[in-house]
Amino acid sequence: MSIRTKIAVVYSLLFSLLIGISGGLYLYSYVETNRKSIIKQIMNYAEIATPTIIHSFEYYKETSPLLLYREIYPILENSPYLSHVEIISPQGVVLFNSKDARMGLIKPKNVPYNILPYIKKLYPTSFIDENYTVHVFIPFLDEFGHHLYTVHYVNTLASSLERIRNTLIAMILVIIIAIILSVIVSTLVARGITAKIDRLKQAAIALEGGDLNVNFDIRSRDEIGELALVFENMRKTIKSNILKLQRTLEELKELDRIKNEFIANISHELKTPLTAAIGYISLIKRGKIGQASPEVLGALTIVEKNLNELSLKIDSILQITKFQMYREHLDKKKVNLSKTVKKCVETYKPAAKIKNIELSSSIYDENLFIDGDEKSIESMICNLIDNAVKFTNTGKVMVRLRAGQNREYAVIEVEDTGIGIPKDKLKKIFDRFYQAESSTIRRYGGIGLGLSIVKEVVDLHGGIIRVKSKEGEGTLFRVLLPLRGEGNAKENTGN
Amino acid sequence: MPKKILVIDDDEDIRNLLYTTLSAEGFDVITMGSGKEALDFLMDIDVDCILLDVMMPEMDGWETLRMIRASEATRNLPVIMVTVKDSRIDKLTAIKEKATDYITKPFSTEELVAKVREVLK
Repeated sequence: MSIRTKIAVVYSLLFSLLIGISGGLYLYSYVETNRKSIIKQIMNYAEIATPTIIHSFEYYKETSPLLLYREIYPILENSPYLSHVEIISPQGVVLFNSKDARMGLIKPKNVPYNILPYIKKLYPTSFIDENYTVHVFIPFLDEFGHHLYTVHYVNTLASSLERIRNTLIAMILVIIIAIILSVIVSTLVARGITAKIDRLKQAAIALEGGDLNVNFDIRSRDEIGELALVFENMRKTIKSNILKLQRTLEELKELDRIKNEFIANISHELKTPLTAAIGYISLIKRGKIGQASPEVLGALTIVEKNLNELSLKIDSILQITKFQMYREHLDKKKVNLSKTVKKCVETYKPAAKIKNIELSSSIYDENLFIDGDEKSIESMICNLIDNAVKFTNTGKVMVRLRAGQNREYAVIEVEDTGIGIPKDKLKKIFDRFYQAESSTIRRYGGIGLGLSIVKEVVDLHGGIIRVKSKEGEGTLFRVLLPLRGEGNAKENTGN
Repeated sequence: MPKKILVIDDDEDIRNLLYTTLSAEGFDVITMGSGKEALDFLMDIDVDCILLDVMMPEMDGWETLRMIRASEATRNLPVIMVTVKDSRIDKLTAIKEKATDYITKPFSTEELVAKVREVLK
């Protein structure tokens, strides 16, 4: 149940309860005062009317009941409440009844037992019976104090009860109107509260969406206002922190860019002297400068070999720096993986043959296409095969290409029966400049950039690389690359 | 008559290397330390081929090449660019700027001689 509904229900219940109680109290007091005033009015009227009625009765009782009624009739008519009147003897015998007299009859009879005590009283009395009928008794005494008659005035409260009933209906109507009003009022009040909460919510959603300039300015002198203030402070803190982070990130990016540029430049600078050195050695060896002794030529061969190695290492550094510099401008096109894998395997066939190891490839799916930079992908696969051949002395290197589950990605595996990678070193092999042992560098060459380039390329193509290895038994590299969505689907339907 | 080759490189050792290598092969080699110097030289003297270094201070190889190609006399002269960058971007620049060929450092002297002979054919 929403806050709006809750508030509306509480408000309307409270309103109706309040109005109901006050209405009931008012009704009760109204009925009470009404009844008392009616009785009092009848009493007063009866006291005045009694001597006249008795006088007429004494005068006409022997002649005609109709004449007597004609005398008494105006007295009855003048009072709004009286219905009829009786003249009763102190012994309880009805001597005259205005109802009977109207028909021209006088039928003496005994009064009911329950009103007998009132008739014997020497002062005016009254009571209300179960039918809300008011009975007023006025005794008539002669000048000697003898109790001659008691006049019994009867009044039905029906007419006044009608009025009370009308009041009651009006009261119920008022309560109903009050309930409707209270629902409207409470809805308005609730809307006022929930509207603020809604604004707060909208602002919080905007903040969640990353709008750091959203307005939390909800002026309200209540808990919502306090909450909005907390949100506003939170927003300011988040904004300033994010700005700080962005600045730091920019600085870091700039530093990284400067570093990459620096490395690229350094590598270029290094290559010019290398060119001169290698060139001159070549000239000396070919006898273009002068004759050198076989010992000098032997030494020069070693110098040349080392310079070439240095040149290759500079190339590796350049290559990885280039990947980092151009990762955002990667030239992605449709790449046929089976073609690329075959090409790489062919490249390393001679190297494998020299080492007398078997290099084979199994292409399980010729139609695997990815969106990627062909040169990078080729360099990545070649690097893996290069490593496998380099670190395998006996046995074989197997390259496999197949489609992954649901044709969502391609799986490239390069498995060898080489020296393997120690378990504790497995995690570090993708780090830059890392090679399991420094002695392996001396034995196998390379400065450990190969696998970090592989990892870089796989990352740039949204892929995953996994390695499994057992020392002395071999290594398995598995690369998962996401397949080209639309193009691949077309290839499938084409088949 | 030996073919005239103009070598433009800011590095003295490279200039000497190219001079020695190409002279040994029987070419007539002239070396220049900057693009500006070479352009002045080309105003008066004809050559058969130019070896042009890309990374040079003040006026770099590409700019020098543009100037060479802009002049009526040297428009169709074979120019081999000597570059250290082995990336597709440089290859594309070489095509765009109408270089005849290019060679990347470090190069072997045999490769260099072969390229020079190729463009002189």
